[in-house]
Amino acid sequence: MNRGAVICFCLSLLLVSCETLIFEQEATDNPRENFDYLWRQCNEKYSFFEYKKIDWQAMNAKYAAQIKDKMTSDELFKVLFSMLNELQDGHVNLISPFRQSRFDFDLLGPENIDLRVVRENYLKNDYIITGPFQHNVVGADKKIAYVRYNSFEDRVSPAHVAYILSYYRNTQGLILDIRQNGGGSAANIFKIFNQLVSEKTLLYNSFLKSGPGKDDFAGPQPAYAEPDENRFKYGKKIAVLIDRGTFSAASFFALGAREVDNMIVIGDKSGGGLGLPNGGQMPNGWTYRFSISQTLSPAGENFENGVPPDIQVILTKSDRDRGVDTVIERAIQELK
Amino acid sequence: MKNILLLYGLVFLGATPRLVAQEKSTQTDLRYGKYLSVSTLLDYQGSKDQGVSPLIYRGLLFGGMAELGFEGTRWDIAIDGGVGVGESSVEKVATFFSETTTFFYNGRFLYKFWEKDEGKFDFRAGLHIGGYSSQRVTPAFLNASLAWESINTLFATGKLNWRTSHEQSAGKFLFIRQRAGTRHIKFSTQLSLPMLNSAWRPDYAYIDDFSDGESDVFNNNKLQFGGLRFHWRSDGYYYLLNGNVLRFTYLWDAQRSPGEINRLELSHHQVQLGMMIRLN
Repeated sequence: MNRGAVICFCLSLLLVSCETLIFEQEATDNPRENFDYLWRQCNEKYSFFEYKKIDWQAMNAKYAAQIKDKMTSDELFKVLFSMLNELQDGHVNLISPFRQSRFDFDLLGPENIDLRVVRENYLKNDYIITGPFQHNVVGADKKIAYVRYNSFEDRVSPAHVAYILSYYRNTQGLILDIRQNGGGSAANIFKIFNQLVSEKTLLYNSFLKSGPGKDDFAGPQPAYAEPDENRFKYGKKIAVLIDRGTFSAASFFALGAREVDNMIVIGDKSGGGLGLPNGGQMPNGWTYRFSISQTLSPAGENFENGVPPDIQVILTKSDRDRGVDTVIERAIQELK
Repeated sequence: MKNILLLYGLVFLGATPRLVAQEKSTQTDLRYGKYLSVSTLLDYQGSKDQGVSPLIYRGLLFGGMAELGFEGTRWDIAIDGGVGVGESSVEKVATFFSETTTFFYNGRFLYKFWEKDEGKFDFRAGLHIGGYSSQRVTPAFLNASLAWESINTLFATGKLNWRTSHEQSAGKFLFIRQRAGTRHIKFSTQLSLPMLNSAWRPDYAYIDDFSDGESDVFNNNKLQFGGLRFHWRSDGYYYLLNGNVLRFTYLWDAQRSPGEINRLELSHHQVQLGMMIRLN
């Protein structure tokens, strides 16, 4: 009995050592390896080099020169942060246990909303909360519905949208304000659109990176809005308000709104973020994310640098000082 | 983890006296028969998914296996399945963890080709179909946090058995009463080498394209053939007088998915402790 156990034990040691046949050696954790790893992952998977005309090889030369063998974690983070910011993409982040990088896409244009003005003079103190939406009637004759949606992270149900449309059925039009909406769940895009469209509508097409080459994309993956048969048929014109803080899922929404007949986009161009961000990890354990897809309009237009509005309107200082939101007023004018 | 270990220990110790303290079997040769096995398993897994991380995640899975098997003088056939649930992490960043649920399944079909000393030693060979399917959730990877993968392999397998026995006098082992009689013991070791290996797992971008509002993690998975996989197990059997068998198993399974890009490397060191309940 003992001999059998000994033989089995020795065989187990032998075969366990064969694990090195299966596992490649773990990547070395030093500043140079971490830099090379991040640069390479980005080089192979980031989806907007060609569109943004970024010479990523040149970035390697520029930032590799700043890498030193004995640099601290904080120094390494600063170099990698600077390199990733060359992509000028709000979907690009580097996350360490002590810091997180970001790109302030909303600062690329003028501030185009004053939330205090919106709350005091448009929502006022008798606004209604329906799910993630805050809404009220606006305009001198109270004939325009105003709906504020702060974040696509806030879950929408079809019932929320149906209620709002039914509540404002006697208005002349509806404003959907998604300025400074930083995005969230793409599922909420369709929960809203499916209540607004009257026929199946192609909103945009997505293309996912399928290989390490610059042009390796699979697709298109079409995104359709399909009318919910239980929807309330509102039928009036809808103005979607956007600005530089309209990002990611909100930018997708703005892109899709351009394809719906009775919808018009007003404000400043969006912050972009039309690439799906993918996450990963470096040899030192830090995590990162960056865009690994492109989303184009049905006509093939790439608006990664911002979805343009149909009507460009910028909030003026004089209006703001008077408690007037220039963008909302323009939308009211357009809907009457 | 302590609570789970305690629970398993209580269940196993609670069941054991009843299963061993039965009347003597009427079968003449207790070494062969049809069995239903139930085992508890402890799995130490290592995984490196280069699609999202260059680091090896290690951790423990707890779970159970069930097996329906037949061992005769010529054939050795078994089908088993089970599940393990647990958490793994990397040493470098203790806050990043991966929750894993893995389903294990195997089918083994072996025929005896050689024996010595009237069956004291024998060698059996045949086919082994084995696989495991896992869901891994690693929140730190954000939109790439959820991964489903399935590794399935057709093996050529060979098993060496060594049987022995001794005469047991009546007595007690801890709180378990032991009757006098011949106790059979078997050791076996089985090595499975891959003939056809497949891996079904996320494609290049390692993300579900949910920009159409439909989150379908399977949509972006791809099936690939090739790669490398080894499977080896050793078992120790202690045959009870009532025909049931106590079995201790150590199993090692390691695989590397095909291709150079986004390679998945997995290893499992698994221990099973169970009871084979005689059915005939």
